[in-house]
Amino acid sequence: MAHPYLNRSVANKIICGHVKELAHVTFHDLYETYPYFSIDIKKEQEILRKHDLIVFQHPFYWNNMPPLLKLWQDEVLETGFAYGENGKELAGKEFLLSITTGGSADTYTPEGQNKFPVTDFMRSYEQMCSLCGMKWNPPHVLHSSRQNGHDEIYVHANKLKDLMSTFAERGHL
Amino acid sequence: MNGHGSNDFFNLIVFLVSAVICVPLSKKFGLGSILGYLIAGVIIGPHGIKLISNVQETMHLSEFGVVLFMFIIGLELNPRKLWSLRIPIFGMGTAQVVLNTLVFTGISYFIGMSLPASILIGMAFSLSSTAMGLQILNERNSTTTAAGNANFSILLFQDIAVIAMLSILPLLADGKAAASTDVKIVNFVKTVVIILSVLVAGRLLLRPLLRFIASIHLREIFTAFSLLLVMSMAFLMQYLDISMALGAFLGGVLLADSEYRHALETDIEPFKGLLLGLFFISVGMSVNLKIIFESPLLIFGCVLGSFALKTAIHFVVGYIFKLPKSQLTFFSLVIAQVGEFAFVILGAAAGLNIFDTTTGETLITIVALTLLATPLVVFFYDRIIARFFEKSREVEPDIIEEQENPVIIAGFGRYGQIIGRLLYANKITATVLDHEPDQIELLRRFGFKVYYGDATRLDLLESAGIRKAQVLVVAIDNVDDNLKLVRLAKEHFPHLKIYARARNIQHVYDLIDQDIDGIERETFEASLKMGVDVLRGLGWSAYESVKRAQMFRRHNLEVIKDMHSKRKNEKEFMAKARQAREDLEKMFEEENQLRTQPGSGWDI
Repeated sequence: MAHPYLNRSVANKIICGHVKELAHVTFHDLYETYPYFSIDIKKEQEILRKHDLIVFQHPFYWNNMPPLLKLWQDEVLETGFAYGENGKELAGKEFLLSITTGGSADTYTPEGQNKFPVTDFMRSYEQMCSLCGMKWNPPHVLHSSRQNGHDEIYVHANKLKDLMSTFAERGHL
Repeated sequence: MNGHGSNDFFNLIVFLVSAVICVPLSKKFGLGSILGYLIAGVIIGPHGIKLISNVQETMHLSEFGVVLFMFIIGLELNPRKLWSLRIPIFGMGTAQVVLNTLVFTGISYFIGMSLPASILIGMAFSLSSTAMGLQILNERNSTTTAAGNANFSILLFQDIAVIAMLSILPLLADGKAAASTDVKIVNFVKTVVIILSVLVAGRLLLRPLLRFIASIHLREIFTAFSLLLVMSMAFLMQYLDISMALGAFLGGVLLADSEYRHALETDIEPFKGLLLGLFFISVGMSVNLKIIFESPLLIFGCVLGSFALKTAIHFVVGYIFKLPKSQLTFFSLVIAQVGEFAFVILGAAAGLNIFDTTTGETLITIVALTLLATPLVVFFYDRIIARFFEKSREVEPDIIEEQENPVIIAGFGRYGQIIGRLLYANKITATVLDHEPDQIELLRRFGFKVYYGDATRLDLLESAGIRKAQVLVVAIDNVDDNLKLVRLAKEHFPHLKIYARARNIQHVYDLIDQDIDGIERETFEASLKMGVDVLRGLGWSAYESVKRAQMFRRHNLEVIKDMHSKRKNEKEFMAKARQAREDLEKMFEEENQLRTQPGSGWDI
């Protein structure tokens, strides 16, 4: 989970509230843990080792991840751990990207503001998975999250919850 | 009766006038208060202008000052702390008393005194002055140093040793026991039983009693009770033939843990001060100028000789018990005088006809002169020996060899240590300078290379390798020394990068004037960090709290720069300060308006 001002967000707060309820899920708020941006790399890697499904939940700022998550990616997924000769620690794990966007689905069309499909902006995530040997799953996206009423957000959040539960039932978790 | 009363009144005025004139003068010349009292005593005494004749009575009265002093010392030592001093008290104490007694007895016997007289002189001269020693330590705030502790422990042991000395006096007089052994054992048992019951009863009863007295809310009654407490402890001990001071000390220790410790201390303090002053006056009065003029060489020779001998013996004792070398000289000097107990022992000896009156008076004058000499010696120690001593440390190449570390840290207390440890962990070697000997001793045990010395001295900086260093960290907490070093380094070593710790805002301005590479207010970052924690404690998110603190920091640093440029003009300065406060409020207001409202971009 990475949102610099979680208190100010509506959608992410609701989503987080939902998935926190799940057993077997470790809810890890990066901005709350590392407000000074000094990440405990060893500890983060230990958390990753212990889990079979990794979910990135964050707002899609500038069609990208918030900077602390990027820093986390740079520092924690280091060679020798996540990739490279002996870097097999993440191999075989499931990966799910769950984002909220300000723009509506329409903006992710050639005519829209964002010009490209939203999945185009996810290529670096996908590539991360392939390099680390993680399984890429269809991303879970909430569009126009600002305009959505609470009901729609609840539906979205419940869907994510169900999705994560299925992973558990499949025996991965 | 009436005449006697007005005489006392006159005496009191003489004491007060002489003290009020001599003590401030002496202090002005940097000689300390004690010497002032002593000189006042010499002037008004029977051998001076003869305003006061009854020295014995005055001294007896004023000894109570020492008693009060010991009570206050006791208050500062709870039983646990006292227990931790058992080795200095009994180890160093025994060594000091026994060695001195042997040496002085030997010398007296060698110059033709009878054996009993020699032993007596040996005992008398082994003792030091509690009043003098503790007062000097107190004035210099060094009671808590290793040497201060050792001094105190020895003085305490002497108080115990006096009991034994007084009890063997009659034995020396006629060569046989004054009382049968049976009686002595009975007496001893009686003494122990009484002391133990006083300790137990005191432990159980004193606190409730004090609480009751305090609940009456009459300040003078509390004071009266405090005095009564000390006096009755002292009286009881005197009744048991134990020194009054020791009794008062025990009373103090009993109350060291109590919540009334500070109240008692404040109440007793002024009495202690005045009586102690009176005590030093009466010591001054017992200096017999006639005897000095009759045989000045003999007297001064004896004074000098005994002072030097005792200093040497203490030096050995201190060395054996591993006192910090830098404190050894001071430790030896502070208790090198012959103390006030010698008056008691010599007086008692005269009464028992162990030697004639002239010898007795000569000895008393010698004792008084050693007391008189102590503040002078301490004065010279500060002016000459201490400096020479520090210098001798630097030229000794094995102590501070020419260093070639890239960093010099001046001041290795709480602040400098963190910097040093960070560097050390990153394999950057730093030369560390500090002038607190205890601190250095401790750090060395932890494996730090720390050098003793005043970092504001050019020669010391040179031998610390400042010419080859790249960075100087000024982590000294004392503002004057801190600035002195910054200026010195800036002037003589322009190649250096200088980083300085600032104690307060005025200090920051002064450092900005010096145009150095880094200035850090010692509590600023820590306070900001706690501010963040407080915001988080109130439910703010972590990152939000950090951001606000960083905004505050940036604003504050800008304001300081601004204020620095306007600080010469008070009007502008105040206006700027007001404006800065408003700016800050506005800044946070805008932050709230713009970034926390829906639609600000962060709300998805």
